[in-house]
Amino acid sequence: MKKTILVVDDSFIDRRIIIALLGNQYDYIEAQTGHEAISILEKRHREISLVLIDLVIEDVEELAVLKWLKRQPWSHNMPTIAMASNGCDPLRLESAYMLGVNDYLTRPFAVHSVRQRVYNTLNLTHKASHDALTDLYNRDAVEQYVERSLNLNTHIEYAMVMLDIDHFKEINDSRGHAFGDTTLVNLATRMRALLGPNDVAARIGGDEFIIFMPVEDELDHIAKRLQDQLKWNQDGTEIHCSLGIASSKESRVYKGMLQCADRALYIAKGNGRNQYAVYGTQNKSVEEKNNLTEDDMHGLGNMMVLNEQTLPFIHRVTDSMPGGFVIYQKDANLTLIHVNEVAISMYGCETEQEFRKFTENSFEGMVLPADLPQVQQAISLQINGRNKNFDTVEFRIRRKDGDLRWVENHGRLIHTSTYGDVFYVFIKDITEAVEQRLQQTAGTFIPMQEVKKPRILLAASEVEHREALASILSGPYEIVETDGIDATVDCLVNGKQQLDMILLDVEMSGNVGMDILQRLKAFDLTDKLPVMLVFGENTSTDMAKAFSLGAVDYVSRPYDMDVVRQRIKNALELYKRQSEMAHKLEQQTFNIQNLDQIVGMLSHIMEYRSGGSGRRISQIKMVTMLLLQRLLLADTSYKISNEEAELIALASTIHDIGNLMVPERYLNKPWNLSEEEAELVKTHTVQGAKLLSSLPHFDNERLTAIAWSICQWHHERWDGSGYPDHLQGDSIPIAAQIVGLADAYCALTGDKAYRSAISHSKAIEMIVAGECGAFNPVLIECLRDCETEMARMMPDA
Amino acid sequence: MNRFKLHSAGVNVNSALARLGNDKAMYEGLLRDFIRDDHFVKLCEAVAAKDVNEAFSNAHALKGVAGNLSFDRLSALIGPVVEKLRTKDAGIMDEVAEDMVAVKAAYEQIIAAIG
Repeated sequence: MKKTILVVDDSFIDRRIIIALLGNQYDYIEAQTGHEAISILEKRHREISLVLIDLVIEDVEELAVLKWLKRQPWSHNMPTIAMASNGCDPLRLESAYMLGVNDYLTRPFAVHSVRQRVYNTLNLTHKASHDALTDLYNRDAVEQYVERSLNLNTHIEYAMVMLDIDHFKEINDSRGHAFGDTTLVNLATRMRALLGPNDVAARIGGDEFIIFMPVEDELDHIAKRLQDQLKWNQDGTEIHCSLGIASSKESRVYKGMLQCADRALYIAKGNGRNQYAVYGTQNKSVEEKNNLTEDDMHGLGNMMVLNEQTLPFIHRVTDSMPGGFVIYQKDANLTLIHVNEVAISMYGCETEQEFRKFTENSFEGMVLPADLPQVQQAISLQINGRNKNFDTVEFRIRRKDGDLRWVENHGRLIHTSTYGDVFYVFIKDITEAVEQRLQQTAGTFIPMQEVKKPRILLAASEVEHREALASILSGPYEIVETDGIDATVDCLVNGKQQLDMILLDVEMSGNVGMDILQRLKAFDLTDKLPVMLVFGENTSTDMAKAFSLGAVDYVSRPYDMDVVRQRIKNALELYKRQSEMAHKLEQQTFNIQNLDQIVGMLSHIMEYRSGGSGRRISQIKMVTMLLLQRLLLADTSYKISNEEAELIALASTIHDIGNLMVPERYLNKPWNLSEEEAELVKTHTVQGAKLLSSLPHFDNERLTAIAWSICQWHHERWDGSGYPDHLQGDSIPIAAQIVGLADAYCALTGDKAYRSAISHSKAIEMIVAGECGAFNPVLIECLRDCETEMARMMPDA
Repeated sequence: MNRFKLHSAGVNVNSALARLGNDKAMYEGLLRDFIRDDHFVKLCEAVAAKDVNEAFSNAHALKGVAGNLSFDRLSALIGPVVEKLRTKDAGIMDEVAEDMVAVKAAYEQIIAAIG
């Protein structure tokens, strides 16, 4: 279906030209004036994919369209391209950009560049805001849409529906992914058919959808209608959904509404699925897997869920810690769910409402996402280590409206559940009393790197210029000022503090700004340090030259506060991302190329030291891999990604690295050890983990996190009779369970100095009989299933 | 489309076609549309009425079109007129009126060449 472009230009011939150039791959609507354009957009914005608008110097009307557009909730999805003449006033273009124009074309037009630009903008905007499979809004787009609707149309009540397909995973597994995809597409089609012109639908997760609409009926009726209609029989399989609905009366913030709808969905699922629930009318209790008592705080089970029963408990915990508040994270969404009185006043607020407003949208980017290695490790230690370790998270909260205010805070992760929900409890000041309380309930914590304000060097001769810029920027940035070449060079060369950006006034000290830039480039400094140029009103500078010398962007007088802030922010982001990527690339290259070899060498050295032949390590790795394969096929309650499986197999080769700390003679003669000496050998578990934790990249590598848990716990046993921590059942990380079993198995089937190898079938019998300790029945099944393969790969001696 | 005539009228047909994807039919269509365009007429009226603003906006628009359609001679002549009018100085209108003589000639040549 052809896309429609709205062409706004008061010149008939100009409209003819651009339309002729773009050709008949699009349909066109023409408007002669800004007012006409606005009234067309008001009625028909759903049909229109792009607005092409002329930027005429004198006529203010065209900008009026852009200003109007900005205030419409749907406008972030409406791309606009300006048409400008060659030699058009850059300030005019600036204004257009600030009003949200995506791109511009200059006359005289050339056919291919015009067509490509239009195509690019259309497709990029669409792709960036829509889910590829279902062509519904994606998560970002719907969030923006919802926020804007709530903020711009404050008198309208909206409803948010969250729904997902019941048993989608099973459907995918049993009928295949193609079938699953078709289901999603069908659902999207049905949703579109049910929605009115003011409703939007989005796909925000694998099989999770949101519908957002103005409320025109009872929530109950809306939900019922949707839930009734969104079920069908697809090729022999019954498809139906669970659905939660919440009103904007509960919250006029996207995240708030989302959380409410999500809670309602949770209730619907808890009550048996294939139904809907309205937030605020929960009248049935949710099934729990564990009952929670205060005593459990120390040893929080890994099955805790956030619901009406557990919430008061969380409240009690937080209330006992000054300045505490709780953020609830599900997937990538963060919601504030509780704040205690002290915290409210500590942040300079008077009520919880105000606090919510103050911290609205603040937590993004401030709280580490749950998949960062540090947090993952803390999480796995939490689950398996019985709350022995916390992570301290330091971040800033920024006031959303008005001035920027930076408040530092320390956060403690106190709990997570296997459903991926994460609670953070943030405590403002760690006083001794708080510290003690935390120590009582948990052990040590791992401090994290400090987050600093970016530091900007402001190099300009005139004091007013410096002051103006400093006042715009000094909130979120630390400003260092210099007023001449010497001072600037001195700061760059000899300065102790690290700089994140230079704001360089081109006119400084008689126009030497460009010379300085040249010197920076000569020393290759512009690669790592963004240089932002500052131009005066009358500077006639060779922009091309400036950019070729490595300047990243510019701001010019008179300053526009927003433009300056935004440009600086963008430039810093860009550089930060580039250096992060370079760093990651470095690390990855290191990983992929060297890790395998290094690990291989290490493990052979270790085995040699213990009197082995090197074969044992490869066998353990092989058995680990076989067990993993079987497990991934058989039991889906263990969530292991392919990448993790590879890492586990690799890490299995160094599970006994702790042996390096054990005297050689003990390793070679295990039958001749006293009880003390045997205990010493057992410490290879803890020693190995300790060695790994001392590695320089420990915090950053998933491999070392997995290897750590394998080293520490591969001698734990299913019934709790293992060592060193007497973990039991599935509180032993699955990676350690697998390697533990592989280790025991290979010990039996390998040659020893005191006995010859045992056959595969006998070894399995022995393990089943419990002669090597108790193992996870599921894993034992997997081991059995692998018998023939193992016999084939490692023939009996 | 009579290339020779257009060329004599200061229209760079080759350059226009190169920019417009070598689509002769499209270009011819646009030339015919140009005949219906009223910016020139409005410009003359504005100059006669000494309305600087109106004159400027029409001259500017005309310049843009001339650029797009490669009316090189007309472009060259109207350029300075646009700059003079940009000053918004009503006093300049007499000079502009003089310049308009050549502009008018060029414009009429083009119209005739389009035929």
